[in-house]
Amino acid sequence: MEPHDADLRHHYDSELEEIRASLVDLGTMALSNIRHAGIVFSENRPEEIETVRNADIPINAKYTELEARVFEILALQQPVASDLRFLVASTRILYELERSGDLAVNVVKALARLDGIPTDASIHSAVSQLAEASAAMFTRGIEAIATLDPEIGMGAELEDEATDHLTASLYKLVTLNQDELGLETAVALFRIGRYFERIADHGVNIAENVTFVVTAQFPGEG
Amino acid sequence: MTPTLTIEALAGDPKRRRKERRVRTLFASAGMVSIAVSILIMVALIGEAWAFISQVELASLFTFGWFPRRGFYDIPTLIVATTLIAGIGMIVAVPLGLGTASYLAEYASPRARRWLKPTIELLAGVPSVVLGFWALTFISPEFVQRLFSAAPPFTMMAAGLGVGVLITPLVATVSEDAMRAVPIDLRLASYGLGANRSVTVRKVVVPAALSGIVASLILALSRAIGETMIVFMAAGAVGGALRTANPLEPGQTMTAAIAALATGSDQVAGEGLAFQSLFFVGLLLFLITLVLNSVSNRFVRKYRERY
Amino acid sequence: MANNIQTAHRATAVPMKLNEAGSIAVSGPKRVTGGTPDDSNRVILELDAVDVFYGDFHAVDSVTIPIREKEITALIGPSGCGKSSVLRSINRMNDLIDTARVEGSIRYHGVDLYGPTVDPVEVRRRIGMVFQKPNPFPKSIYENVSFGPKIAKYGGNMDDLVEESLRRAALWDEVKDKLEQSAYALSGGQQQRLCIARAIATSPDVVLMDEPASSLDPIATLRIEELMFDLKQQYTIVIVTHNMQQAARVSDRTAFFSVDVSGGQRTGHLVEFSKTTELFTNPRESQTEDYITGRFG
Ligand SMILES: Nc1ncnc2c1ncn2[C@@H]1O[C@H](COP(=O)(O)OP(=O)(O)OP(=O)(O)O)[C@@H](O)[C@H]1O
Ligand SMILES: [Mg+2]
Repeated sequence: MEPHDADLRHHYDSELEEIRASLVDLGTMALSNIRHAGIVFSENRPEEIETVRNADIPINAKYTELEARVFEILALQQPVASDLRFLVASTRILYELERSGDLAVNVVKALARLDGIPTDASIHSAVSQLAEASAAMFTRGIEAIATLDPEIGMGAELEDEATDHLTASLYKLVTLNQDELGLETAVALFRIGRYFERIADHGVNIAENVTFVVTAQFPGEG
Repeated sequence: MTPTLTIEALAGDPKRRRKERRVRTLFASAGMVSIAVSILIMVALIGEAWAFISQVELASLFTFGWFPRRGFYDIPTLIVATTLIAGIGMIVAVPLGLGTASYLAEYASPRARRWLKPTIELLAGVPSVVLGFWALTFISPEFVQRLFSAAPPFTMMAAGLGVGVLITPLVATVSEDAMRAVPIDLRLASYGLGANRSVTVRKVVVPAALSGIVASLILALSRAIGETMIVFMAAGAVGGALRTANPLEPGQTMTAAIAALATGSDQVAGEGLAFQSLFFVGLLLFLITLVLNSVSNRFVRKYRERY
Repeated sequence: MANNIQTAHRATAVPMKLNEAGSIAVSGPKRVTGGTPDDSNRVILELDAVDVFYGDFHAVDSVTIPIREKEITALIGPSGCGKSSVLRSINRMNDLIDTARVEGSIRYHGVDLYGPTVDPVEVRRRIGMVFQKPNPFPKSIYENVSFGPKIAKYGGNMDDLVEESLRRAALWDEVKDKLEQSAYALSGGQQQRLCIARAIATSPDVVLMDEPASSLDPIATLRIEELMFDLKQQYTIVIVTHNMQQAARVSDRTAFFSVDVSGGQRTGHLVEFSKTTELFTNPRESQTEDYITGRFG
C-alpha cells in the first residue's frame, strides 16, 4: 500500500483510453467529410452530394454508441477529478463532433438546392479558402484530443480569427456581386459561410474542452 | 481430466472412521464414569442419611450444641457457625476482591498488572492448611485477640477472616476476568459521553460484567461454606461446640464436624449414630451447594448481558 | 439528482410555472446537499501543527486544519494514515491510550484543548463522538440516551430530552413503543442512530464520527448521511470515512491524508485540505488525484 506504486485500475484506464481513441476516430471521420463537402461545393460536383450524406450515417451511429459508453462509465465508476472532467468533456466533444458532421451535410444540401454554382473565380477561391481554413481549425481540435495538449485550446480563439476574416471577406464579395448572383445564390453563399465558420468554432470548443480536462479551467476563465 | 466422483470417494477412509469411533467411545465412557461416581455418592449419602434420620430421636437434632458422641446432634449449631464464618469471609472478600478486580481491570497500568495478577493467582493457590495455620498463629493473636481482649485463641472470627483471605483471590480473579471481557467499545462510548473513570466503572463496566461478578461471588460463597481446613484448625472444633452466634467464641461448621467425625479425631468414630450423622450433615452440605449453584445459574442466565 | 428528477416526475403537485422574469421556477421540497460552503461560518476548531505519537512511533505529522461551525468536515485517506488518531485527539480520546501523545495545539473557541487546566471530561461533553461499530450499552434504549445527561446532572425533563434526541436521530418513530427494551434488540443501522441520539443528548457542540456507516448496508448508510445533513443545521461534524463517495456526498470540506514511508516509519500527514467540490473535481495535489480516482496502489 505505498502511494504511486501501481495502477490499480487497468481495466478502467483502458476504457477511458478507448473512449479517447474513439473520439479521435470519430473526429477524423467528421473531418474527412467536412473536407469532402468543401470540395464538392467549391468544385461543383453535385454527383457526390449523396456520398457526403451517406458518410454522415456512420458518424451519427458512432456518436450515439460512444455517448452511451460514456454514460455507462459515469454510472458504474462514479468518476471524480480528472476522470470526471474527461468524461464530462467527452460528452461535450461528442456533441461538437456530431454537429460538425451535420454541418458538412448542410453544405452539400445547399449545393443541391442551387441549379449551379456561380462561375466567378474570386467567389470560388473565397469559398475554398474558407473551407480549408475551417477544416484546419477543426483539425486542431482533433489534434488536441489526440495529444491532450492544453496549449491548443488556449490559443484557439486567436487562431480562429483567420476563419472569421475569410468568412467576412466572402460575405463582402457576395454583397458586392449580389445583383449578378441573384438572391437565392447569395443567400446560399451566406449560409455556407456561416456553416464553415461554425465548424471552425466547434474545433475551437473541442480544443478548449481538452484544456478543461487537463487544467480544470476553460481558457479565458479565471 | 477430472476423475469421476464416486459414492465410495465420499464415504471416507474406513480406518479413519473406525479410529474416530474408538476415540468417541473412550470419551463417552470417561463421562459415564464420572456420572456413575456422582450417583454412587448420592446413593451412599442418601442411604446413610436416611438410616440416621429414621433412627435418631428428632428432639436430639435441636438441642444446645453439637456433641455427636453424647447423642446431641444440634443441626442449628452447625448451620449458624457455617453461616457466620462464611458471612465473615464474604464481608472481607467482597469489597477486597471487587476492589482488586476493579483496580486490575480499570486502573492498573499494564506494568502493575503484569506482576499483580500472577501474585493474586498465586495467593489463590496457597493450600488452605497453610492459611488455617496462619489464621491460628497470626490472625487470632495479632488481630482478633488484640482488638477483643476477652477473645479466646480459637474463634469463629479468626476462622472467618482466614476464609475471607482464602476466597478474596477467587473473587478478584473471576470478577476481573468478567470485567475485562466487557468490550473496550463500551468504555470508549462512556468516556466519549463525558464520563470519568469511576462513572465508567460503576455505570458501565460493573453492570455489563454483573453476571460474571455475581457468579464469582456465589462461587466464593460455595467455597467459603465448603472450606474445611481453616475452620477445622482455627475455629476450635474439638469434638463439639455449643450453639452460639457470637463470632468471638469457638464454633463448629458442617465441614469441620464431618472432618472431625471422619478422621476420628473425637476418638469415638462409629459409636452410636455419630458415624451416620456424618452422612446426614454431608447431604445437607450437598443440598446447600446445589441450591447456591442453581441460583447462580439462574441469575447468570437472567441477567446475562450479551455484547 | 436522479432523486430530484424522480420526485418531479412522480409528484404532479410540484408547482412549475413561468414567473414574471420569464424563467421557470420549480418549487418543492428543498434538498440540502453538501453544496459549496461559503466562508462566512466561523472557525471553531483549529488544529494547528498537530503531531500524534504512540510511544516512539510518530503516527501523524504536523496537521493543520481549520474546522468551521455547522459544516461537515471529512477526513479521508488510506488505512493507517492517522485519520482516527487526529479525530481522537480532537476530544482527547487519545488520553485513554497510555502511549499516545499529542503535540501542537488544538484550539476550540480559541482555548487550547491541551492546556494545563483543561479537563478532558469537560471537553468530551462538548465534543461528542460516534464510533465505527455501533456500541450501545447493554441497557434499555431509554437508558442509553439518558446516560450522558444523567452523568452530567441534567436538570430538565429527561423524558422530553430522550424523545427530542431520538427524534433528531430519526429513530423516534421506530422505537417510541419499546424504549424499555434492550438496545441490543435493534438492527445495526438503528443501533448506530441510537448511538448518534446518545451522543447528541448531551448537547454537544461538535460531533466526531469515525466511519459511522462502515458496518451498515447502503440504505442504512444513506439514512445516516441524510441525518448528518439535518444535524448540520445545529452541530459541527467531523467525519472519518473510507467511502470517498460518502465524503463527496455529505461533506463541505475534505482533508486528504497520506502516509509517508521514507523515514522507515509510516508517518501520516495532511496532503490537501479543500472544499469538497474542489477536491473532487480539481484536486490541487497529484497524490490526492491518484487516491480519489482510485489509482493509488
Ligand atoms: N493505540 C495505538 N497504539 C499504537 N499505535 C497506534 C495506535 N492507534 C493507532 N496506531 C498507529 O498509528 C497509525 C495511524 O493509525 P490510525 O488508526 O489513526 O489510522 P487510520 O487512518 O484511522 O486508519 P484506518 O483507516 O485503518 O482506520 C497507524 O500506523 C497505527 O498502527
Ligand atoms: Mg481509523
